[in-house]
Amino acid sequence: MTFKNSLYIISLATLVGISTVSLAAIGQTGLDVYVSVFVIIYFAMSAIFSPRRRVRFDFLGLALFCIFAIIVAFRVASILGIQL
Amino acid sequence: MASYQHLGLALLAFGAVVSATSFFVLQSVPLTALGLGAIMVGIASAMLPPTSVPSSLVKEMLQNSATNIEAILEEFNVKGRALYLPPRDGRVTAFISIEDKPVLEVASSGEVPLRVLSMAGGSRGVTVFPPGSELPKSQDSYRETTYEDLLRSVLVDASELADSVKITSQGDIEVVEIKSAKVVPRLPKFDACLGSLPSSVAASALAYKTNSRVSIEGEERYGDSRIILTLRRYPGSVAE
Repeated sequence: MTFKNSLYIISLATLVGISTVSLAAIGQTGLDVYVSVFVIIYFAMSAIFSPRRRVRFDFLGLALFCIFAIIVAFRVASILGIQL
Repeated sequence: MASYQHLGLALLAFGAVVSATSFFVLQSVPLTALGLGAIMVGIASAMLPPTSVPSSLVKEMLQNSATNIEAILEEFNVKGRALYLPPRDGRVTAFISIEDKPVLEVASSGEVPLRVLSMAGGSRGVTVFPPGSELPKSQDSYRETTYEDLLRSVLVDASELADSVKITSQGDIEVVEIKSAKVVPRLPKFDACLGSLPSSVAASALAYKTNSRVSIEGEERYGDSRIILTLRRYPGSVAE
């Protein structure tokens, strides 16, 4: 294991754990909020560590981005009063 | 399978069980989120490249190899600059003329015999396997398509000889910026003939990737760890 990749995984897992505990502590009950925070953490850690991957394309990043976009779309729709 | 993949699969399985149980049985949102987080970290871990040999060990082996080559160069009192030759049986070799002759004379010569002492382009010289001669071959599984990708996997991931590399191409010239390079001290002959250890590995990787002869045109060091390396390819040269 390379030091940089290990640090990347440890940082990702630590931040996911801390954010889950923090959001639970303030009484957050919306799963979309947790997932949105995870997505932001993932992209922030990927930008900081720039880990090399076995596959050239970041499929996880694309999937998380799509999920994030759907969550944002639902939020915007609810603010505008549109029923989806 | 490497450790990252084991860790990734374990986290993926753990996350799937926790999130499904928490969502359908316990109906707990924080625990469901924790499971989803574990799945995300698991997939991220599984996507990392496998490293069967610890990079610190690879770095030590490269440094030991450089020390051995230093002893050979000292013994033959070699004064020339190295010409990195295309891979033969997947291994890059380097020809170093004993006299201080221009690399171009050797680069335009015919096939260089694979012997310790040999003649090429009218020059007597030494042929050695540079420290990173086989490293690029071991990185093939990562499906690198560019020289920068290959060099990053060799110098940064596999051997930890540098923190980052950046390449600018200008025709047959490749300018490589190596940041936080780990240079082996007290190897004067090696540094003079083959370049510093990270530069030598970079030249070997370019010879491997482009299947052409390569020489180090210039190597400038800024501070302790930043190297600007200028490599020249000789694409029309004879394949080994």
